[in-house]
Amino acid sequence: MPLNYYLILSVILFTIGVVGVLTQRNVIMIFMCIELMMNGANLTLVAFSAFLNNPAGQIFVFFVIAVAAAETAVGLAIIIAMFRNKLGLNIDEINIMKW
Amino acid sequence: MNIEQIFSLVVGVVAVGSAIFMIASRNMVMSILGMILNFLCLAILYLNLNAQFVAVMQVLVYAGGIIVLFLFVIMLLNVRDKGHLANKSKFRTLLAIAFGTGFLVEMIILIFSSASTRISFLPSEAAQLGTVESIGKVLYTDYLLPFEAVSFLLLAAIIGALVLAKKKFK
Repeated sequence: MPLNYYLILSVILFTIGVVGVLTQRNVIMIFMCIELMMNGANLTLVAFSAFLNNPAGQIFVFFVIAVAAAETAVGLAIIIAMFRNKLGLNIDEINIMKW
Repeated sequence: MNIEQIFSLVVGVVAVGSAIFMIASRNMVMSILGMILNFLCLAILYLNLNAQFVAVMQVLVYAGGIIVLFLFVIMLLNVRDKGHLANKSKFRTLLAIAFGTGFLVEMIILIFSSASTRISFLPSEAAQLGTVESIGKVLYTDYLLPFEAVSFLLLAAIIGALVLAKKKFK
């Protein structure tokens, strides 16, 4: 497969993630869509790394996966804290940070 | 088209289909299943690109760790059905889809007009690029400082998650 196949596939996955973030109203679903966007970006990095024969892209993907794991742990802890304080999961109703 | 190209085309179609299923499904557990399928398809594509280490990391960390965390939170909060959170505004959905389509068309035009069109074959020496041995060599020499920084980041994430999920705000 040529390089463009992987690039277009990753753009499609990224766009599905963007549309998900814009249409979903549930915090957990928005979080999952962000993971989807990150995967699309990872596919671009791995494709360029393989086709240009440079390991830097795959090292970068390693760091992205580590940061994504940390982000998921903290983000889901925030969602649990929101739920315990009876704020619900609908982002349209969560506006305590608004001034 | 040889069998390898057909295989990666099918895997790509399954990845896109499972991503669409993920954002379209009303049941959140079904969304999680779509997400697992998407991650596994990406792992297969990474193997196709000779990135064995990244493929194993994808299955271990994403499909093994992050998905379990999501499922755990969904079961804990008992929010499996997201019907009551459904988007009532048709206008917002249409606007989001229009924006997404515009972005997609723009990026595809950009990709086809860039130099990446000229690169169509994997270099033959790339088979050794993604093995654990060569990745480890680069990771522990050139990228040692970021590697240690990531360990600090994970420690901070563990402590932060514990503190956030434990505390009752007043």
